[in-house]
Amino acid sequence: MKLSDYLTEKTVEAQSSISGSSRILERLVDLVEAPKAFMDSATLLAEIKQREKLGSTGIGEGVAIPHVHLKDVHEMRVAMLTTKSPVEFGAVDEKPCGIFIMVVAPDDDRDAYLNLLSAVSGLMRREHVRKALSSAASSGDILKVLREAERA
Amino acid sequence: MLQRILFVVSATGESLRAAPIVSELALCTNAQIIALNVVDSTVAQRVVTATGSTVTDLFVKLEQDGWRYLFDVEDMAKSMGARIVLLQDEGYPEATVTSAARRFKVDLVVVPRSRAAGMAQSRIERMAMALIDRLDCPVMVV
Repeated sequence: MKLSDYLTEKTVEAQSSISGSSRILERLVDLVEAPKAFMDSATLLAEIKQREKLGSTGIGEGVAIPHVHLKDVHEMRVAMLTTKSPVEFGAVDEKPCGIFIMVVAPDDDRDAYLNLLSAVSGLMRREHVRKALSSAASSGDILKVLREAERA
Repeated sequence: MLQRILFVVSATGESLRAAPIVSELALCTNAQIIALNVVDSTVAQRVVTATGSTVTDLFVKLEQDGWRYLFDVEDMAKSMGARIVLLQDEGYPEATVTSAARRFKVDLVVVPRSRAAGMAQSRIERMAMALIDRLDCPVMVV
């Protein structure tokens, strides 16, 4: 399962000027195009924020993976955003985050959900991938970086 | 006061047995749980040699198994109202857990014990002893 399979240029944003964790989540919810899959954006945003309250999904090294699995969702949706400047996100290593990948999955397809998250986690552990994603200038460049990394 | 608890999640039922205890402890102390699964690269190499699988295939399987247990631990913690962060890393377990404990400045490391006998059990004991030797914070086997 590949992260790039779930992303298009419409669901990826590069070098965003958005700051603030709340606005980052709002933008990701916009990108993930909630109404196409399932629920209204406001409900999704509330669920995502609720998950973040439990514990930041900032996994360290500048990466955050906000994720939820919900029963009203009927297909997996993924969005990605990188920021020009890293944003304070309450990450576990207390470093700001500049790469955000949101995963919204159906409750009844846990296998696909965990497979995707394990693929994302594996990719983001590689420093050269993180650096290339952070410096990618456009959504097309981000997708190119991902596809090359997934081939490796 | 505990603020951060590093919970070492293995892809075994023992982690699920330990999860409610860790969650309860986190709730009592208002601590955040950092649930860490380590994909053991030494095991992966040995299995590849023995079975002829590719390293990539095996790592993917180990990562997926790890995430399966991380999610189950997350669900349990969430249902009890505990705060939790999920992480996965790869490497030699003792070294990776030690590094994570230092990097995230945790106040307690929790290792689920193995009910298995023989090598599996001694592995857990070795990890716990190695962590005790290397870390300043307490290490708890549950």
